[in-house]
Amino acid sequence: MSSWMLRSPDHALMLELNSTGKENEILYGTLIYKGTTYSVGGSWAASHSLPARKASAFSLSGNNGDAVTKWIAATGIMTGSGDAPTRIDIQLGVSSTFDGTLDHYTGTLLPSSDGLDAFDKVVVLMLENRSFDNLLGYMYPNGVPANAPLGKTFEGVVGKNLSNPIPPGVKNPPPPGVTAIPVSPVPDGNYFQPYPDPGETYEHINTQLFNLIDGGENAPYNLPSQRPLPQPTMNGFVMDYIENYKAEEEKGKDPTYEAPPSEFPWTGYKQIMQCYPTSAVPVLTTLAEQFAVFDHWYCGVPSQTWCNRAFWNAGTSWGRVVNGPSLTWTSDSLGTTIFNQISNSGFSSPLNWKVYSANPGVALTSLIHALALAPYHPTLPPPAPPFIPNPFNHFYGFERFLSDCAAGQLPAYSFVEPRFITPHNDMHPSSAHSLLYGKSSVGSVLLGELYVWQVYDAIRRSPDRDRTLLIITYDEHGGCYDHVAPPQVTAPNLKGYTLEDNFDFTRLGIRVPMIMVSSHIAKNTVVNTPMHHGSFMKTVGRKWNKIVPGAFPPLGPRVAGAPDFSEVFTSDTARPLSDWPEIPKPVIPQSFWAQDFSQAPLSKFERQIVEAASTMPEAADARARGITTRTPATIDTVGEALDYLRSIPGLGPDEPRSVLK
Amino acid sequence: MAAWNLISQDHRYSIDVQALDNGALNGTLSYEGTTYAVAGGWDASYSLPGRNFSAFALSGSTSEAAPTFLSATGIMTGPGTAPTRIDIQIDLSASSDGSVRQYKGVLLSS
Repeated sequence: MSSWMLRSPDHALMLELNSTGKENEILYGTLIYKGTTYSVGGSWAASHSLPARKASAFSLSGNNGDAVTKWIAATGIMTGSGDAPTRIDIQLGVSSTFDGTLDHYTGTLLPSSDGLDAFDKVVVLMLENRSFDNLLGYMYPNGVPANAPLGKTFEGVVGKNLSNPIPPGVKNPPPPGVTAIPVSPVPDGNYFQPYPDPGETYEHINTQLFNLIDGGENAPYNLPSQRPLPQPTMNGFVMDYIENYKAEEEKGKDPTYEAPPSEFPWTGYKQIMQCYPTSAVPVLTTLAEQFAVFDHWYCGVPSQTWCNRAFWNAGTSWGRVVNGPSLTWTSDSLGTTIFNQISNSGFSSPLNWKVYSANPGVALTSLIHALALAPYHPTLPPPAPPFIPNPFNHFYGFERFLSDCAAGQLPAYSFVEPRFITPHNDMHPSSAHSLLYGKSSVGSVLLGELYVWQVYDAIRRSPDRDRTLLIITYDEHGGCYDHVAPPQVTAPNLKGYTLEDNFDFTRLGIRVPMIMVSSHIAKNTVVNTPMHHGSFMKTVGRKWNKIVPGAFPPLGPRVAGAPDFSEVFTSDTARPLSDWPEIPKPVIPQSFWAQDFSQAPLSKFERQIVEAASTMPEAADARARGITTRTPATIDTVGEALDYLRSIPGLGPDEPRSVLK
Repeated sequence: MAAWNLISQDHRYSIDVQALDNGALNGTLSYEGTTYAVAGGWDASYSLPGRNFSAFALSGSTSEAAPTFLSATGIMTGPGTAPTRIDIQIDLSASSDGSVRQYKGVLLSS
């Protein structure tokens, strides 16, 4: 038996096959075409194995193993020996049960690695609630350079005349003659937009997709009645922003088209159609241009943070669609995660993981996956006495991330959380009355830029640099405008779970920014292949299965059918340090850090974190022993929330603010 | 199990396969007078959410000492038990001389 691994120079196709025999024998393995992995089988004939055979040839067929099947069939001519072909001229077809398309590809494959040896360590920085258009839509205004190594197009907002209609009957209408709001750049110096926070729950996103309000939180959850659902129009962002403002942010008040002159500027419902110019987010856009950007990466669920983060690390949210009631997440979240797979990969496994968080005791990852990750908390849980360090701890502060980078001690998988509690640097749009909004404040986008810079700079200076893949992404779009309709997808395994809001999980969420940084990614790499959060586990699982065979089966059908992102590695040789751009550090005024945020009102998201934390065993133990008598219902400010968490042995404290500078 | 027998309007290409309920396909595909033994699989439209079309893939070869290999993918219209139309693309590669060919066309129920 021999194995063949070849790849097309354009990275559209990779072939990894096993062959038997020398005459007319079996061929089986995988084709990865445009990010989708197909299991294939067929036969081949070796040249000169019989007198009449002047060339080696083969045919194969198979499918992607997904519920929404794509079928593939290929033939080709090989050059070189059957044991190790040096070239394959291939032609293949793909037929899709989803859209009825027939795709055809003709190309040449050359011996190659599978791309997965480009990194040993992966760092994921997952920020909050921004769409692709909101942060990256103004990139590549003149198109992708002709010499770009992969994709030649970029699905941004420039030149498309994008707009959303003004809803009929709006209480504070725009100036006469204005019937639609076009996409426009966020004004210079504004890092708050959109303020206040747009709607992000399932029914709000349905309005954003279909420009329809019908039922709200009740059936049909703002969905059209037509089945199968029509293609989303992506023109309900203005309608939903107005609706959410009235219902959730400034209860009972109708937003104006633009901010009244007396108010601090930049509120008003027209802002929901604004996207950041590249000059406002130079860290993100420099990295996206100097390394790789994916322009069709969709989040896992058309809904909120907790579910989308669960999809990233567990491949499912167990039927849940929204964050609340957060009190029950910690008792529901039994499902295995990729962290468990790594920990279970054996004592001899070289793989390990860490979650870095501003508050390691109540890292959001540990709340979302509370039961699955309970053995790995920083301190031993009750009935052990408080503050006994857990020898199997995997949760650390951000300061430890910086020191691990500097020492070359990053694990195989680092999951980096931003700070979610004010002053939050997660880039989440701030809620109404947030202290991050105002003339003397800076906005979560600028704080987030600084955080991205800190992570990038630490890796850039790390001895691990050339063996590290940095992934910068967002959990969900958070109600921010995007113009691309999300596609359908295979559902995860939902047997035995209640489907919240009757959602069947066959639709992806809206596009989010996805930037990958690696020494093995060439400048101006644009990946056009549609991917989603399941693509992360699909790709690293494939890599780690080669290190510990069988330890990383796909966590459910969504991950099994996910596209693989290994095409992003567009450079066979590692770029020198001099080609890692030195990006200026974002400047935050000292006066900002001196502010007291303790009186900031708790946002919904912050409250959900506190509520979930209150259900952890440590909190129950603290209540039983009379250490705290507070309940989340009595907590209204950021200061009270932090005091509460700090008071519970094993949960607090959070890291000092100085780490964020 | 269902039998699919469809042919191109110019009678140069035809398919004669058994479509099994488990999704397997077996039979022959004729291309300009040459018969290829083929096998593969298919999925019926609406058999699961998101499957809006019926589609298949096949591969196989001639039985000669220097076989020509064939692969084909397609989209079916009509019921899975008796499709009335197949939009098909066929690729061929010959071990006798290293040549490759392609065909894209429509097969109709005969």
